[in-house]
Amino acid sequence: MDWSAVTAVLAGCAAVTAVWRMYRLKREVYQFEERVESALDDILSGKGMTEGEEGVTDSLWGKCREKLWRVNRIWTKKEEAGRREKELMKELISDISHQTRTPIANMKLYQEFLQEEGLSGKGREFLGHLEGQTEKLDFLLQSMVKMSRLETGIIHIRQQEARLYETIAGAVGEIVPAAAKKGIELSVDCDEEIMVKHDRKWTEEAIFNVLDNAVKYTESGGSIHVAMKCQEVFAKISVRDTGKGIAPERQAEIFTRFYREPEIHDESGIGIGLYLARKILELQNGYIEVRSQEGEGAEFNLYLPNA
Amino acid sequence: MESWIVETRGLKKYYRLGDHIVRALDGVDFTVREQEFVAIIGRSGSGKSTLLHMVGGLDTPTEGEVMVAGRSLSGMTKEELAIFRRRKVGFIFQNYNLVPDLNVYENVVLPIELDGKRVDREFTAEILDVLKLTEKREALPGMLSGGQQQRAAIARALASKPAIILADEPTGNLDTASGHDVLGLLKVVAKQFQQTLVLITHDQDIAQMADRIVCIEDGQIRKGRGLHA
Repeated sequence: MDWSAVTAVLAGCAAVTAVWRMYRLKREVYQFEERVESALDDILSGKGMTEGEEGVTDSLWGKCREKLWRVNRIWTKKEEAGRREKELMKELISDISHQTRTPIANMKLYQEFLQEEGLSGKGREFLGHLEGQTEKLDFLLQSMVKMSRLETGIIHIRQQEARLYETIAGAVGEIVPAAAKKGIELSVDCDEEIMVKHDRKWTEEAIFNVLDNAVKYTESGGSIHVAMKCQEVFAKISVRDTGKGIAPERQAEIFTRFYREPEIHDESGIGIGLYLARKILELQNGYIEVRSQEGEGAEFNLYLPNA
Repeated sequence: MESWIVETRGLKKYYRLGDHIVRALDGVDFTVREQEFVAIIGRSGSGKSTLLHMVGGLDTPTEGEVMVAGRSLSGMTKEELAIFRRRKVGFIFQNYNLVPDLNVYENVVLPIELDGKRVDREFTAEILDVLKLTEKREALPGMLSGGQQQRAAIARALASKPAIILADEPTGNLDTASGHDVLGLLKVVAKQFQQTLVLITHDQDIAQMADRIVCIEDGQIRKGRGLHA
């Protein structure tokens, strides 16, 4: 027997086995990597994991999968807790809004009764203040409820294909009395046919808030112009006034909650109109911006994505 | 304590130009909060591009430190920096930088495929949808308008789910109207996908759209400027 041949064959066999084992090991590593990655992808994208039977095997993947499954479970549990908390918040908010409505309505009623009593001059003056403050409290509470609903995502924005013109007309119609009272000229230049996907009720509220703001900061005899334009990506609604304008360093601040221009504390309002407007547009994947120089009026642009 | 996604401390970058030493950046402390949209504004030569390049790991500082997403870029090797850029940073450039022979979809998923990762088709489709590119997904960049090309570049930056998006004069090659449109969209998608966005521009109008403006002059951040900085 040729020993060298046998050795060669044996060595060959050993080499083949080694190569084959290497190959298997490599394949296992790749397979493991792929499984981990796909499981992590599923967890990250929110698809989650099911408790598979590999979880009980003692392989490396089995152990790893078991851990991943636990991570996923803790994560979902936490998410659920967050959701429940939001639910509770929602109930609380609706309770507050409901429970405060009656006392405020009663206060208004008693104030009316009081008016019919023979009050002294001072008494009537105080009553006037009382009525004013009650009105403010009512408005504040309603606004806060609205705001918290928008913020906690309780309100559903329903975007539907509709004529933007009608939404703008709705908001403009609401502001006409206030503008007329102040002697502000109101003009609208708008294509009636343009269709944009948007939530009519809330978008109208946003436009109204911007208009309301324009009326507030424009002196008698000024003018407000509303225009609309379709761009490549966004439909733009612009509200231009001839009011006092906004200093550049305040332009980002005006969209924050409870912001009021320092000079006009005598005007009514609590500083959430523009904040709400921004929120409403953001929820519809749009945005709002302001262009202004102090003393030269302001232009607010509201952008909604084109359908 | 505030947690920053980007933080630079005493950042300096000096170049030698003949006998001169040019101080492109001269001690910059710059921070960005998570999900914030910051515009860096400044004239050309002010150092704003240098700052952006440092944050994106495209350039190394002479002195000082850059931290992005909790990691210091200082000690990284070239390979580590390349991986950092690929995984953590989405870049948007003035000239779009799309590959002309690949269609929109292929361009968008290219960085993910280069990284050897699986493409999340649903996510990519969602991005293309919000950027209004679904109909153009098979189109070659040459067939698109400037605005559309930049939108494709935005989609590409978003697709790999980076920690931060850096935009270098993204509206520089666009006319005013489409530039405004593209930036509005960038702002909206950054919010929607909870992205942090740092943009450099010399255009005050464009900068106004950011949450915060940082003004840079002669390699230093000018104090007391910007909106609510």
